[in-house]
Amino acid sequence: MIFRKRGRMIGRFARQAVSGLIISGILGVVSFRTAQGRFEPPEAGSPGILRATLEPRAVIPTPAPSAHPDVQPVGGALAVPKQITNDGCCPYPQWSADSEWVLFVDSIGSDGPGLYGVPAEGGPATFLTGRIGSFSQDLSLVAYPEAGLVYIERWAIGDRWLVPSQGREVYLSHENEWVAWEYGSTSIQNQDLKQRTIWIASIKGEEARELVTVHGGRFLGWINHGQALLVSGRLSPLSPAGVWRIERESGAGRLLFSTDHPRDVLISPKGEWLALTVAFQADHSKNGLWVMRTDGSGITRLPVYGSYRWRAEGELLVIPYDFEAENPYLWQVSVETNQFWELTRPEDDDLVIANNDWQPSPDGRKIVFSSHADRNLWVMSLPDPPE
Amino acid sequence: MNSVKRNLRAVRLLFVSVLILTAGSVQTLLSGGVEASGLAQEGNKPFIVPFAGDPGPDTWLLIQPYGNTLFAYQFRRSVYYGGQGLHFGIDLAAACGTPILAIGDGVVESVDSWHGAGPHNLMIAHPNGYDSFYGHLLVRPRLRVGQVIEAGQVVALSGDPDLTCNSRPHLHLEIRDSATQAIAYNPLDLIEADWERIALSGSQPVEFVQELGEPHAWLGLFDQPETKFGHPLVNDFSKAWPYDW
Repeated sequence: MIFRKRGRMIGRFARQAVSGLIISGILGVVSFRTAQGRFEPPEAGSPGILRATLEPRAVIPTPAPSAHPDVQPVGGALAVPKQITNDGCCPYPQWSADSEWVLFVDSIGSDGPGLYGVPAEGGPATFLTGRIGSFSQDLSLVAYPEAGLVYIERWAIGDRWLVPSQGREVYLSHENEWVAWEYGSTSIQNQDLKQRTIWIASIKGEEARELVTVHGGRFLGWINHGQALLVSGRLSPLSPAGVWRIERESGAGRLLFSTDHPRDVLISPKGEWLALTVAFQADHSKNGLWVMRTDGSGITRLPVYGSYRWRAEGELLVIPYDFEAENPYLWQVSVETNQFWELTRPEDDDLVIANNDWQPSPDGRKIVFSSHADRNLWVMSLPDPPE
Repeated sequence: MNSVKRNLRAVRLLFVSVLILTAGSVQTLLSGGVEASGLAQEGNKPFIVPFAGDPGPDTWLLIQPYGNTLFAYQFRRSVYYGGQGLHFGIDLAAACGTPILAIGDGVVESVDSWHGAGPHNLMIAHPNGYDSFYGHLLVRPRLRVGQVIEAGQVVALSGDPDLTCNSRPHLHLEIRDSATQAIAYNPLDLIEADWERIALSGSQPVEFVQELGEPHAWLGLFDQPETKFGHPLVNDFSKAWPYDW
């Protein structure tokens, strides 16, 4: 995120500074106003040049995660990973819907580029399709661009149709009934000034319509069986920033969580839960990993931060950001009961995940990860916490 | 003209080396070597992380590594065109005003130079043949060209390229060869830290782009090509995944 333009830099920066000050001032003022018109204290770190002081910011490290939660052993054998590929390969693995296969994009021998699969227990890779794209959760559909247009294809039989997204990436609902896409700013600059309009249509690309425009945000995902979706940002320049739930039929929006620029928003497999990161707020009690239901209830800040994925509804897997530990280790958090379970120990040195690249299986019984030790895929069966 | 500049730079580097030796940084100089192209050995990396303390949501986070990242690929024909389509540094998110530390002993090479990464930037020349470049600084660093710097010294404050301190505040850090400043190296190869563990943050994998004809290349944090500024794109792939929608 760096710009390299010689000459006239001073003028450009001066113009940006002036416009930034004006915009920040406006946003800073409007952030006091809620959607209902009442005034509330602004969120810490709300937009504004005011925080850009000349003084160094005091750095207060995040408390060690082990200082907070009471972590329980699961009992019995802990998870041990198993190598399932050889010779180095396969970043960004995904699971088949039945959790029996691990899928990845590769090019092997005469089969050429395409989607390959390897059994979760290990074995030779099998060529599945040369069609590469964004697959539906059940893998029956794939969306891909071609000559500036976007198609959805039932790849097993080759039946395909056009989606009127004019080449924009499309997002399929879990039950393959709806599709969404974004129009708007694709520039690199000021996140808060970006406007994106979310469009939706039936999975066949019919009944396309504009649903909502977000300022400084984007589409996050489908929830509630396609009845609603989540977006980030503001619904108007005067509304608060955060994560919003938008009803598909009415377009009505409801603020689920108020914050600027939520990071790493992750929706659970069935869309009932949401996890996200808040960072660099002056009020450190706001920073960290938050979870909530997608109906807006159960908002909780977890006493741990790190790498996270949903194992099941309300069950979050976390690799704590614990640099005092000997090795990375895996916890499970039952977010409704605030129980923490130890799935692997810091003494174990086999959780060697490359590129933060790991995924739980749909049945929640395993994870797959790309190893930075050998660039192969490894699968680890997860122990279950006691009932 | 270029050879004169190069000679002047060599003389300046020699002078810097003498200054730093005098300042008592013999160990750093010897361990770092003098070859710009000789990347550091594993476990013997010459530089330190530019922020104090461990990463985390209160301090700093690695938000974009060096190399053939998806983000750089998407902007390969615009923002990153001059850097062969690669992200030729690392981006570390931090709140505006977070103190930035010099990653090694050295001397100030430039302040607010033409290298971009506004609103303010800083280049430090190190005696081991590398320059470190700090971009998107909050204010102009109060440093003089030629001023001697020690590793870990606060040299600047982190800022936001969009000047709001809300949009995308982060430090853009590059490491280039001192001789020409025309080659950028992967900072993760040269800064001592457990980067794979640092990358274990948030809910999304670090995304590099796959060239489908050679789908295993340039996919790791440490498996990335050098950047030769002004040279042709190295990632203008005909078939790539993820797609450039």
